[in-house]
Amino acid sequence: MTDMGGGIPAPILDWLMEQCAGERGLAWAELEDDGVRVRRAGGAWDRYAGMDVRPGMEADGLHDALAGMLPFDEAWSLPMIELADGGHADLHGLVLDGRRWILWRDVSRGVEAARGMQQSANEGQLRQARRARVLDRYLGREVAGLIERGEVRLNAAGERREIVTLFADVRGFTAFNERRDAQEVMDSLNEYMVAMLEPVLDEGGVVDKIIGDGIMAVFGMSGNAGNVVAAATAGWRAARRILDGVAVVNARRAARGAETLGAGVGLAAGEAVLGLLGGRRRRAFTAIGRHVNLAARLEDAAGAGEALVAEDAWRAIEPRPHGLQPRMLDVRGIGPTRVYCWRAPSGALSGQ
Amino acid sequence: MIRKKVCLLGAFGVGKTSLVRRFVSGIFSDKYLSTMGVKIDRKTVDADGREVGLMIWDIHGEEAFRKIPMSYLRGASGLMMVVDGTRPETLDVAAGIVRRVDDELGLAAPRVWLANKRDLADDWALPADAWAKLAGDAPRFETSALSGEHVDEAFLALARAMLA
Repeated sequence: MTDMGGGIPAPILDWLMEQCAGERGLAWAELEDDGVRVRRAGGAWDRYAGMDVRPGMEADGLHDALAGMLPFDEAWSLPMIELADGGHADLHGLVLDGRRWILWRDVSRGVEAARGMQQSANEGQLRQARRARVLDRYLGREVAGLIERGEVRLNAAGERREIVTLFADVRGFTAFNERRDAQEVMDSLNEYMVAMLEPVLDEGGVVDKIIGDGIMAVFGMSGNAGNVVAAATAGWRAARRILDGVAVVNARRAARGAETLGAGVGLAAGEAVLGLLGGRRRRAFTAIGRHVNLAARLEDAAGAGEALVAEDAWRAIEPRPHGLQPRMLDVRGIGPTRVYCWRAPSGALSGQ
Repeated sequence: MIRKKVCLLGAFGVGKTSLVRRFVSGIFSDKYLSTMGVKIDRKTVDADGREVGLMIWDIHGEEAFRKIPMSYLRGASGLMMVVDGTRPETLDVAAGIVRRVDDELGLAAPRVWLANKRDLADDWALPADAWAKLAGDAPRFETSALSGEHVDEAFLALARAMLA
C-alpha cells in the first residue's frame, strides 16, 4: 500500500476521488499554450458542452459561461452555473505546473439541498417587507416602525395611552353627492382626502379610519408616546394645515370652475384604549375613549373652515395658540363644554 | 454578429430573473423562485442597425452572507443594476455592489439602472434623489417585468452603450 505525502493511503485517495469526481460528472480540458484551444480533454463533456470535446477546439465556444474567461494567467472559479437541464456545476480555471486547465464539476445535489433554505429565507424577508408596507400605508411610516420594533403592540387586549384625537370632514358633501355623478364625487372626495390625510401623516399622526367623507386620526402613539403636549401640538398643527390645504384645493377647483366644499375639524385630548376591534375574521385598529366622542362631536359642530378644540387639548398646545375664541358649547350627549374656536382667516377656506 | 456579456446585479427579490424572462421569452410569473448561482440566457437585439448577441448573466441576489463572486463579472461588457422601487433598502445593496465592482475589478463597462416593479404603484417608494445620485450619468429606467414597461428599452440602451 502506497503511503502518500499527507499520510493518506492510496485506496482512501481513490475512494475520495471517486466521491468527488466519479459521481459528480467531472469534465476537464487541458489548454494549449495560447490558453484558448484544447490540447486534451476527458470526462462528461456532453453534459456541459452537449458534445465530445476534441483537441484543437476553441474552448471559449464550448459553453456561454466560458465567454470572456479565456485565456487566463490566474486561477478563477465560477460557482453554480445553471445547466440546460436545470442542474448546476462549478466551473474552474486552473493553472497547475504552468499548464492551464478548465474543470467542470456537477454540484446539483448540493445546490438543491441549499435551494429550499435560501428560498424560504428570502421569501420570509420579502413577506416582512410587504407587511411593513401594508402597516406603513394604513398606520403611517412612523407607527409602522414602532410596531415592527415592538414599541407599540397591536393586540385585542388594548393599551391605555394619553392621546389627542382629531376628526375632520368635508362640509356639504351629502348634498354634493346627490347632485353629481358618482365618478366626479369620487375624484372630488379624493382631492379633499389628500388635503386632510397628508397633514396628519406629516405631523406623525395615525389615520385611525376614513369614514365616508371624513377622517379620524390620533396623535401620541409614536415618537413622544404619552406626551400629551407633543401630541396636542402636533394635532393642532395638523388641524390648521388641513384647513389650509382645503383652501388650496378650493382655489384650484374654483380656478377650473368646479364646485368648492369646506371642511370642519374637532380636536380633543384624553386617555384612550388603543387596540384591535372586531373578531377573528375581521379586525381593525382603533382608539376608544370619552374624549374620542368629544372630538367627533366638536367636528360635527364645527362650521366650514372651523376647528373646535376641547379645553384639555387647547391647554396642552405649546406655544398656546392665539386668535382662538372661547365658547361654551352644549355638546350632544356630553353637555355644556368649553371649547376654543379657530376660524380660517380667508373666506376661500370655507368653500361654499 | 457582435457578442456581448451582460450581467444583472442587485439585491435578492428585485426581479432580475423576471426581467430576463420578460426580455428573452416575453413571459412573466409572479411566483418567486430564488436564483441559485447564475443562469445564462441569450438574445439578439438590433442596436441602430447593428446586430448584438447578448449573453445575459442573471446572477443571484446579493445578501449579507452570500456575496456575489466578482469572478462572474470577468469579461462583462455591460452591467444592468437592478433595484426594487418598492424596497428603498435595495438601493443601498446596489450601491454596495457597485463599490465592490469599482474597488475589486475597476470594471469600466457601461451600466444602466433599473428600478423594477413599477406596476406596484401604491407601494412605490423610490427615493428620487438617492436614485438619481446612485445612477449618476448612466441611463435609468423605471421598469415592470409584469407589464414589460421599459424592459426592452433598458436592454437596448445597454446594447447601444456597449457599442459606443
